Amino acid sequence: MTEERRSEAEKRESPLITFVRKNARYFLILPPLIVVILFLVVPSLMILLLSFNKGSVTRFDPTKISIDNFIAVFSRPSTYIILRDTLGMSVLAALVTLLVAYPVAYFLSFKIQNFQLQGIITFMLVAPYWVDWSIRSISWLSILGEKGLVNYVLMSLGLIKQPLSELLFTRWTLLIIWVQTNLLFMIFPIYLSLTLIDPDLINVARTLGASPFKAFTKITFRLSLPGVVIGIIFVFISTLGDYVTPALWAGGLQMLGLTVQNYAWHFNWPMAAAYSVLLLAVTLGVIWIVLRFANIKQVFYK
Amino acid sequence: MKRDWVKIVLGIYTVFIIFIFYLPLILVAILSFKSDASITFPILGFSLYWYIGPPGLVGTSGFTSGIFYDPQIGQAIINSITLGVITAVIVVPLVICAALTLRYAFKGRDLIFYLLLAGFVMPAIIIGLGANIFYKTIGITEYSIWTVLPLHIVYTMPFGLILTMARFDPLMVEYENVARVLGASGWKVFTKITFPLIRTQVISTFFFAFTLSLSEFLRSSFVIAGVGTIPTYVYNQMSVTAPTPKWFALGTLSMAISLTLLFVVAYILTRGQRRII
Amino acid sequence: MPSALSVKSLVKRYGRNVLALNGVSFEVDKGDFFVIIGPSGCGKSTLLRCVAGILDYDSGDIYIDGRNVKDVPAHKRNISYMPETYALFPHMRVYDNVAFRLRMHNFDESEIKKEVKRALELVGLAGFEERWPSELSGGQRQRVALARAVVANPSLLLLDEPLSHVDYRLQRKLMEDFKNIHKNLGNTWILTTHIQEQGLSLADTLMVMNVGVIEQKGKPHEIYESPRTVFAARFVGDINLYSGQVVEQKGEFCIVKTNLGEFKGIYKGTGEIVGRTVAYGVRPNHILISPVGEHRENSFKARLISAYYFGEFIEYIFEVTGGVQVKVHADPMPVKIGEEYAVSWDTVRGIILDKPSVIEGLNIEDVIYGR
Repeated sequence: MTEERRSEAEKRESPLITFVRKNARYFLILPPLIVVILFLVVPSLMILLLSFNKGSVTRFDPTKISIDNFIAVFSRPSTYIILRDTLGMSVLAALVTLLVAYPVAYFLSFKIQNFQLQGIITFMLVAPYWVDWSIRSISWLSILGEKGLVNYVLMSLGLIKQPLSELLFTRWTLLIIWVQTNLLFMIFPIYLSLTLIDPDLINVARTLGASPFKAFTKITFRLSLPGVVIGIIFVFISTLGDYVTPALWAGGLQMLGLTVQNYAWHFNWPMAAAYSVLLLAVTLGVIWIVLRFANIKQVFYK
Repeated sequence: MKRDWVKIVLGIYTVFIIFIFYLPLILVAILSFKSDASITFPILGFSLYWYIGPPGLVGTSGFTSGIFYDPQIGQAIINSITLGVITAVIVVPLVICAALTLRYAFKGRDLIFYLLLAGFVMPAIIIGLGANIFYKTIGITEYSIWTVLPLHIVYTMPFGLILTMARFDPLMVEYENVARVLGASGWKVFTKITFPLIRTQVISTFFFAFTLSLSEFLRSSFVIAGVGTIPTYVYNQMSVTAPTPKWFALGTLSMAISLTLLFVVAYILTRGQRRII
Repeated sequence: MPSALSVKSLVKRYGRNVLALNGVSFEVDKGDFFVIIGPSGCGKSTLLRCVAGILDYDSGDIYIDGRNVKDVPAHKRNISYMPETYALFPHMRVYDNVAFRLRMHNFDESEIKKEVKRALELVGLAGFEERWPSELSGGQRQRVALARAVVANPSLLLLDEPLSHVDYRLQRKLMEDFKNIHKNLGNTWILTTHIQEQGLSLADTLMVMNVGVIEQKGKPHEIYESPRTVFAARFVGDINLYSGQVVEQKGEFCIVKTNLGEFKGIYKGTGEIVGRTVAYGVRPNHILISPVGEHRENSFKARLISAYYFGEFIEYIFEVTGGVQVKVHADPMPVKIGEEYAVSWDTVRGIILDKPSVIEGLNIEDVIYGR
């Protein structure tokens, strides 16, 4: 290199620029962090604070702190029924979604080598989500309703005389809709986890004497647990706080999210807030329990 | 050649699942062409009314029209797409910032990581209600897609973050180091080394952020007014009127558009034999 | 004329517990082929990365070509760095990889084409411009990484364990190529390795490192013949070491009493070591094997327990009662395994060392027996 080029390249920089340059990589975290703090942490804090007020207020009043709301929440027997129903259905939804999703994820990641085909199938699974959720939901009316497809076919074939009316507005409707809504979000993390597995691990297990089934249960499945856990967490998050689906489709079931929304609707925001805190506690509790099963962090960084 | 039974069985299963997935949608498509106003069977006749029919009295729902003539749906579509695009456009650089910074170990890294992921975890009602209170507190009373935007950003960012970080090349920092010694200053390192290596993840992030934003409505409904986005609009309408094939027409249309778009994009992206997701 | 590299009291800590570099100071002459050897974890990679500018350190100074580069960022230091993993940019072809530095300094394309061609020819990969890194073998990737590092002739070239993942035959060839290219270009090379043969054969100047400190620095044959510490003796060249006590000291000559007997040797240090526990060492290729009974200086009886063929010599392992072993490198001899022989050596070949290591507080017997 010529001398001119060299000396130009070796010019010193000011100490301030040096400091910024050396630590710039860390400053980069600020934009996302600020957004999250403003629009996640702060609103949540506000809800938390509001739960300590009473009555129909919509802004936190530091002079009127009381824990009456929480006493009410925890002393009512209905709270526990709600908890039982909500948790029960959510757990069921998570398990069913997992069972349905896993084979698809496995098929996609292990059995299809052509990336283009993988991509196409993935997109095919994603496309329905671009149809609005509400529309997708009412389509179930057309399938399971009294004048829906199932009944229509069954009656035309003469298998039943009266239309089945128990297909809709039951727990099972709720379950089906929940599974349909969350399926993709379970398939995707599991697929991701599976593709990150080093195929040599499975090969070595086979040479060490493991049957394909054993290799799956002891190696593949274990290694896919981070994805499974993320998927389960997602289903829980979406179902525990869901107030729309149970309202529309499950009639009499009292759900946690629904309760919150009810109070909000009737302008008793502090009570809504109190139930929200309960909802959050339950959500976090469930997540914490499920996270015990897999070390998520190591998937993302060492 | 031994037959891979597992592949065959799983393949059939997957096709079956996709079919079940699409069954409601196929139905939606078929029913959108119904000539009468109910969404149930039997189908008495077919027509394009719900797409392009002018306002008029059809069936028992009172005043109604095909989607082509419904200005509110048009507005809702525009709102949704705008919101979706802006969300995706903002989320991508945020995710890049976060993902690249989280590669390095520093005090509080775990906490920040969980905090960034929390946008996913927080139940929608809490975010929605909380944002409502927050806006009131800082004096924002007018709701629009701009008040919804930050909520969508917070909600879709974790997804992109997971997507991007999970697929990092473990040697990425080493490439950057070598590039720096070879004479590349900070920005050049990013454009010539880092970004090309994460390009596919960035595209996926954009794509998923847009998708998630389009269908998000639990959080949005707390801080929106007027026509709103497609999900909030459809939901509101359906709570007050009986469902008609009009919504199916909307659904079919959006599906057709998105499927076409997706096939095109997927084909382009996967022409090189590299993964897209 | 300033040295190519001058490091003064460099300190680097990882977290609170790990002291990677403990006040390291040394100089590298211009045009030298400088090799740093040491066991894994001794800090040589850390040192290189600090010099390259990609790792921050806690205190000390680094001078490249006479200037303090404390506030000079990596991309302005005009040096080259090749990490252990080669780190070829996977999304660029060979041509773009090698051209990278030139592009960063805004050379124009015609010049770049010439320089890339020259660099690839220099490493023996002419015509490889259009290949992708994923298509290359390990040795070829290394050469591309080398071409990328030497293009536009930087004044200082840093190579971190370049030969550690290469098979033996290729190692010899590459070592030759390194020396040739170095002579051709005339710049300064600093190379690290944990394989001592590489250190001995490649270096103009050799520096032995041990857990954050420098054990010894000098010409290879100096360190080989006159190691200053037990650690340096063990790390550079093969050696048999035994602990013993100094019985007599007369100028350079000392008599050391070990478990195997009393031996005479040379002590090149400056201390009064009578009565002290020292290390007595003799290199395997300086030991003679003879039938029992012949009287020689510095000898003892031992039983031959195994022999290993190394091509250029045979490694004979002898054992004495008590499990103590002696390694001897010699031409093939008519000896039988299981038989007793006498092993002996000249007094001048006996190396006596009183310092276990530059690191304070180490027990000499621990270092001798590698605990």
